[in-house]
Amino acid sequence: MASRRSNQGLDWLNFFVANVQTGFGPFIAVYLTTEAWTQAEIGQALSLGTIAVMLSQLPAGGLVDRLRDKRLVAAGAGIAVAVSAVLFAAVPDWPAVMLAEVLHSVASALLGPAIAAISLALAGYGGLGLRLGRNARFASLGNGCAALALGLCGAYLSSRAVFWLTAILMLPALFALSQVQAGELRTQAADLAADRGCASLLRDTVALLADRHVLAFAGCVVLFHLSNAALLPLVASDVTREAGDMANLFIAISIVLPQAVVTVISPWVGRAADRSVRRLVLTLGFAAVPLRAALFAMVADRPELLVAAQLLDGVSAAVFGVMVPVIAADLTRHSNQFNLCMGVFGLASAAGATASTFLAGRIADAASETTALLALAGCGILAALAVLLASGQRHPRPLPLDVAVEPAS
Amino acid sequence: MSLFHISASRVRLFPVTILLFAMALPHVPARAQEPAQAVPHPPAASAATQETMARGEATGTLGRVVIGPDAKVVGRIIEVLVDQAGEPRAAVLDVGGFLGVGSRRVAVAWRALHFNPSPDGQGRIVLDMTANQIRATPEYKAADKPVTVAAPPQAGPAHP
Repeated sequence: MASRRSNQGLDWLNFFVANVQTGFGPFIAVYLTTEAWTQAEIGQALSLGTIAVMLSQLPAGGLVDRLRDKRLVAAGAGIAVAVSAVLFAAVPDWPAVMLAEVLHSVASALLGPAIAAISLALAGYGGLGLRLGRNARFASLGNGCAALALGLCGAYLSSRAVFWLTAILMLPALFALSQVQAGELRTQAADLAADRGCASLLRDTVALLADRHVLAFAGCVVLFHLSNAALLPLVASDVTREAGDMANLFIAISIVLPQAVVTVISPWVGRAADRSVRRLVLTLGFAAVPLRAALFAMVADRPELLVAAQLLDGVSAAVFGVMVPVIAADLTRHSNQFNLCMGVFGLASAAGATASTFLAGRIADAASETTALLALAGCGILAALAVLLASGQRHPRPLPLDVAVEPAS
Repeated sequence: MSLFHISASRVRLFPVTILLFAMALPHVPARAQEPAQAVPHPPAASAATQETMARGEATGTLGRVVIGPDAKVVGRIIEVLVDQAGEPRAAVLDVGGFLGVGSRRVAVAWRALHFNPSPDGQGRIVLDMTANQIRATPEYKAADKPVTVAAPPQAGPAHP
């Protein structure tokens, strides 16, 4: 039973970390343009970031498993993200930006699993779904508020100010982290993995991937991102064109609306994750993606469909964001490889998202945007079917809320 | 360090400086002669001559803000397209978008851009069209595909 203080600290940690991460999205391309970087150079910098993200997922997950003090990992990663933001703001030339991209990628790969691990340690396996639902709620609040604040900052102040603000927002995040009391973190899981040491990382990774449940679900994650990631970027420029003077408002709504939906429904999704409706909710969440793609195909004529499409985005984001860590925890309950599993799913997410934007861009150039949307919708249907099948084979039933997990000693 | 040490190094530099000075002198009259004679270039290329642009004369293009006739921001220049003769025909602008999402790339005619440099080199770049007017232009993809360039509407006799 964790105290209110620790739980609230974790809540606000999620909020401020989401704040910080919002500044590092597509906005980097805008900022580098204002610093007279050529498009080719910007592309290279972003590609380096993507590669760094993918390469660091597995080692970061393994590292978080093995380090006892998860809070220290989160703090270190948070500081690294802040340093990265400062580098972007202060020294926007080639070597500094490359360093900042790599630093941010590695730090993000550590931060996600660290927060999930703290959540698991605080809530235990039985209460994990609810705790992650709360995480998602505060993270989406953070994303929504930051999108507005940073967007206004970028429009009315300067692009550089956005990164300074991002760096400053790490301070309240660290304060929130300090509110999580170390004594309340159940350390059984940490101790078991920490005894392994780094040399076993490769062996553990192979063992984890050999588990067909993990592999099946990783495949679902890839398919989900393959169908989901490129949807908004594909139609965003159409929306801007059609909306004219209201373009910024439309885009702001498109970004904030899904976050609002996640804020509202994620605790409910978290509760569902702990019960037998998990499979149904998961499939519905995945099925929202092809539906959204179909709506986007019609949005060029009816911009109001954008609102409905982005509501669906919120639904799928909430389901995905809450369910994935819960499933990772279930799959690794007896091997205590929770963070490594999160790393595997993180790698799958990054790979799927990258492939999505690449393929969608190619198809849109070669054929048409509608063809690309239909292709993504097809992937989405595949993803929903895959997750329906994969979750049917789910093994351990969720434990009742009041049963604590003890290590086999 | 002793005084002797410092002066010794200076003495060593002295002949070098004289040599450099001697080499520099012939460059001054050479620039004046350039238009009159056609000097055949030796296979080993000689050093480039230098021209200057006065302070306030030059305006950078990449990443610079372009404003419309209503003084509202249209976008930023991300690329300059030149034709076969090397003349700039269009500038590609990054238009619109919020926090990096939803921006489009539109090519606008070079002749519609006006560069007004200022003494600090940060001149204003003004486009003859507003963001709304270039809204319907198809997006710019790449230089090796046919490019649709937005040009100012013809000011002809009013059509019914």
